[in-house]
Amino acid sequence: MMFTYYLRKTLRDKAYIFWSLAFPILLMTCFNVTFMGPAKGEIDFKPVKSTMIRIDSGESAFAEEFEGVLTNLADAEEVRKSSMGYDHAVIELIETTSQEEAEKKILDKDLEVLFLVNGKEETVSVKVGDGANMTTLMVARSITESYKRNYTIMKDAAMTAPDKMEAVMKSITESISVMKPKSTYLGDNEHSANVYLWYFYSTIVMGMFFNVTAGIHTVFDIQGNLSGYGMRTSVSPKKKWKILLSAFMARYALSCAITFFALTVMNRFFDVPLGNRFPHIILFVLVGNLFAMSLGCMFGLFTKGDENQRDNKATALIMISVFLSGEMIVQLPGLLEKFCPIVNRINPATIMNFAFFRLVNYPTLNGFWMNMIKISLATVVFMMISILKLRREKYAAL
Amino acid sequence: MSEIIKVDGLVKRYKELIAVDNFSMTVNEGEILGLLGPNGSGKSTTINCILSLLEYDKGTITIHGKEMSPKAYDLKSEIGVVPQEVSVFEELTVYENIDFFCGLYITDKNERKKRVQEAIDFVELNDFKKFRPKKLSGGLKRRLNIACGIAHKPKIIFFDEPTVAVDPQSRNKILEGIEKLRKDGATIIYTSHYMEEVEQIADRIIIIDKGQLIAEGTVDELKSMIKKSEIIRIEAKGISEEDVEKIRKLDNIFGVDYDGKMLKIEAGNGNNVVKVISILQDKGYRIKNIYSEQPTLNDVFLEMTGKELRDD
Repeated sequence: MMFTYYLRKTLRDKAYIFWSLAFPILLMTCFNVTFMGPAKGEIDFKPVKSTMIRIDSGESAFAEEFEGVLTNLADAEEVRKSSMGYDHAVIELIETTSQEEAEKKILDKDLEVLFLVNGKEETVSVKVGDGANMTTLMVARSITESYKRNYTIMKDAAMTAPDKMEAVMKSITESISVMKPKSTYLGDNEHSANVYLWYFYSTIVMGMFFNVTAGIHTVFDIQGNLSGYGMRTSVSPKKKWKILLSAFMARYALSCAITFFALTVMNRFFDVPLGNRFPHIILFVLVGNLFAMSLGCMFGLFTKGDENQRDNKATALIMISVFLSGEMIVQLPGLLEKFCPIVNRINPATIMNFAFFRLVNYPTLNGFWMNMIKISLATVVFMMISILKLRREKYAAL
Repeated sequence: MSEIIKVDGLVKRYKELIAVDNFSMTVNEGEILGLLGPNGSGKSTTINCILSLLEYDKGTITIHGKEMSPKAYDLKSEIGVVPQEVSVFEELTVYENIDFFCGLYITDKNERKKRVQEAIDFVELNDFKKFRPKKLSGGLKRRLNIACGIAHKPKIIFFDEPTVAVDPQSRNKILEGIEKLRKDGATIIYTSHYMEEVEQIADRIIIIDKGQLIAEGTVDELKSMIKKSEIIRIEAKGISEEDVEKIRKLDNIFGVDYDGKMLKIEAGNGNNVVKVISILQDKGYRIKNIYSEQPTLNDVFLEMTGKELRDD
């Protein structure tokens, strides 16, 4: 009975639902709109199946150089040597002999992009299949636009400095980079991180951290010296630990459900990869929410002010922690790593972000486990302190 | 009537401040005990000590002869509390709030359903069952607060200033409800700084100030403890200072005040009115009106402590 009512009470708490669910999803929507499918980076990206058909005949430098660019993009070694940041080919060249054959392959989904090149008119048009994804469209658009933009320079180079042609070609290849989100240093010594992924992961962590307020509400629900309803429950014959367990578990269950929902939205609607380590993701969510709630319990027990004031203080604290973890300025953890690394070591939002990022992106889990251990230890400490304080049934003052 | 609650030598300090100072009292079964005192006199502190919410420095508190403690679950199951502040969950409806707090005492779902409905009927909130507290008026919220404290049908109910900031209509409803609860067999401890309320409903009153018991007894017993038994007001013009002095010197007269129109006399037991009137008539003063007032609990408090019970 108590569990159900605490659950119902929390579900109807508009501020809580807003901050822990609606606000993160809104932010993710904003990120998605701003960065146009940000996560099409290392994780999901597969070489786009492409082919080139000339729709004119005769010799054409325009067509030949375009073919050269496509060949470079299809060569993993060439791509790796470039500064594009990929370690695999951007496109996969599919052999076709005619436009009809290519179009049939598109219909059969054996081909994704058909480049129709007119060497005489120096034009490139593109055909893609129905339901082509954002990556395919971006790759096709980027290649044609970059090529058209740079071909004039290339022509000049061919006439004035033929020895620089190779460098010009390389530059054209590298300019096809809009499909690849920029990378930036995030204070992690081993890897660079994908900026856009970081924004999304940070938002998930922020949503979890807003459960600090759920922890505060839990202690207010049962502590006789904090609220009138706490007083009512304290004078009832129900054992205090039972009430505490109901109040805590109801909120904890809801907070985990909310995080899983937000992760699903992030993955399904915004195409942000979650990798395939699902048991670890579950563990991450369970530990993250438990950490936030235990911090909230401690915060509720040791700070001053009424429930709203403590909520506001906690929200401010979360905002600062999340901001320092790079939620708004993704370079911030990197800067802090350079000038004040201790902040990254002790800021729970940064620790959680790194845990999540490493979990999804790294081949090994060492970093993830290290961060999880840090957060778990903090959770145990917060829980123990809170329980010691919550065990008290008589108060010095009300 | 058997003794249900016994408080003996209770002392509660907040650092330097002594909130309850060697306070003793008993509560008898089936009575309404009024705990009367000004704001900050120690009423709520005493109640919270009895409820085992507050640590205290000295003294013993027993209910049914057993020491009250946070783990005295059998005793706690007999108690209902209506706190001074409206203490309900804003996110739950009227029905859900009552059901939740009743559920802390009654586990059987059907039994609880019955009692919740009875409590709703009792406080007349049937039309508001599905309302959230924020949609209720102040008076209705107070009634909900009461319903949450009494739904499990406790034998001992503590009302801590339940009528603060309540309109007269709701206030009367609340007081009628408390009378009804007593008739149904509950023992009630009612704290207030409104003397009229306490006078109206309490069988026995304890006056408390600065954490100390000032006086204890029924309304009549308390009033008989003070010298002043009535206030006589006589509307008459032109009474000379000499005649006012003559009245002042009469036996059982404790205070005389005259403003040129109204003569106010504080008198003790005895036939004071007759004596005063005969003096005024002998001197030929024209008496327009005569009023006689019984002393109030405020007079009792004033005489015992030298200050007003209520300054608002």
